[in-house]
Amino acid sequence: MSLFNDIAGHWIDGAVRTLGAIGRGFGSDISADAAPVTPYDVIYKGGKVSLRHYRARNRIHATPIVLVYALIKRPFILDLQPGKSVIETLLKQGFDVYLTDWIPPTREDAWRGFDAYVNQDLDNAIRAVQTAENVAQVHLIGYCLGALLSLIYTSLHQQNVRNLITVAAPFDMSGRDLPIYHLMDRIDESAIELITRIHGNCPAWMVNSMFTAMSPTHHALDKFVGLYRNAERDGYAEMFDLFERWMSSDVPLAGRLFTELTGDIFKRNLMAKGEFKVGGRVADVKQITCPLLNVIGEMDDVVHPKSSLPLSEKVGSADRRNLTFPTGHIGVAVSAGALKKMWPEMGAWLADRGQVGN
Amino acid sequence: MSKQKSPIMDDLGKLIEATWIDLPAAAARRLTTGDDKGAVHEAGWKAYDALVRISNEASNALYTNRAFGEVAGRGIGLALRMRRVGDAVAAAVFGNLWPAIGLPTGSEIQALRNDVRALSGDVEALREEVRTASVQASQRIEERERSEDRATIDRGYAAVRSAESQGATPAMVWNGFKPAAPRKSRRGKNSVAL
Repeated sequence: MSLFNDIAGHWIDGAVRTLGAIGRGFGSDISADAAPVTPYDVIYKGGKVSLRHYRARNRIHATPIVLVYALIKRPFILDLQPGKSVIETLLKQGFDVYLTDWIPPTREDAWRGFDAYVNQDLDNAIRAVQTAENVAQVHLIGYCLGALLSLIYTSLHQQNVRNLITVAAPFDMSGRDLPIYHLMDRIDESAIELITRIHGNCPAWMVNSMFTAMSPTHHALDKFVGLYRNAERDGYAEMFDLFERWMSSDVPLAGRLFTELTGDIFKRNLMAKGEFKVGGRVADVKQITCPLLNVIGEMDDVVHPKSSLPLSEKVGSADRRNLTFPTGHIGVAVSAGALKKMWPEMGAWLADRGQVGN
Repeated sequence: MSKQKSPIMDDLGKLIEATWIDLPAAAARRLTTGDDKGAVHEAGWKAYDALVRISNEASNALYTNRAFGEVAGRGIGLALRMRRVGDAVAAAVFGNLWPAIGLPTGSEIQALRNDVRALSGDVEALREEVRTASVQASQRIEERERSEDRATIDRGYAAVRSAESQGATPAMVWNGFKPAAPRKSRRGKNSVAL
């Protein structure tokens, strides 16, 4: 009966974790983050961003990387374990890395939309890097919603970006290739507006529910069975715990950003149409002229590959490329294959197009 | 013309195969030979995997179903509207009642939250000040200790120099650890009592 006992034990552990998450409204604060693997300094804090600086031991490249993380969940997924860290991989390639650690918005931040996040917070963070490093341009890497922020930023502030890499970018939302997209389509905009009127922001538990709804069987049962089946694998249980911690590290989405994201980006597809206005200016990706590497997870079931693929066709850059990799949405950040092959390839792509020096 | 099988039918086929053919066959083999436990497990996991895939496909089919989407979409909208109405009614009905029975209103709680937030900011600032002061204090202590050490060493050297000037060897007056005051010369003595 060990099989049923073990699985039931894992399931109960998971249920206790979920209850704990419900108790705090699924909202995660910075103090609940997993311990950082790579040491860093915070070089700038303002608005809703805290900018971390990770230093390479043997720095080769003069142009630093600014890694723009998503506004959903906490960023420790990018620095999870020694040997399983995107940050560590980039540092080993001789880049200094700056990471945007987005501070969870409170009810008072409901007014914050893409304008506040891109034209204030991200712009200030990049200015801090330019000042600290004495450089005119940075390499920008955006992951998931961070890729969307990077796209908008580069469209509006191209002069500050030397090279742009988008990873799992939600760009063209015209397709309804994922089942959850159909469901989201049916929620009308008045309901979206009600969410922000009642809660101010989109609460963390709603963000969590959306992720759970994408694969209910996995979250209710299969992941615990998976833990039982892989219990013998070295480091699997430890990784499972860290991963679960990250999965329940949801943060609210600022009210205005949430309405812009669901209405303008998802329903009306204004970003792909080149009509999305941010702070009174149109963020058209045609204005992006720097080299672009568009990284896509072939098995991405959060941002469908069809949503990211058209990006390279739409930008104004002469040097543009799609890099597809056989992994999922989270796999691009944590899978051994991605860390061993995909991120080094991205580093090499940047190195070819950057300045060498100290 | 060949018809393409839907994934859910494919997985149903696998589930039936695993539960009706593989699992009984493996169980029978285990009963007769008594040593083929692995085959039973394998067939069991095959059935489980097929079941999980069917469940996933079923939820996907549900999400893409227009009728379900309509119901879910309207349900969410309705739930939110009800919540809003509920909040408004509660505010109207209990708004005057709560203060009467001594309970705080929403705006009072909000004001309290703001106060707590401000206080927490003050505490954080104070903690930072204490941290800075503590670092500065320990630096000052270290500096003072260093300067005291230096003075002690200087006194030791002075003692050595003074002793040397009186004809004594440094080893006699300074052992390297505790510099002593210079000894007076023992001109009147010929021997040392031990």
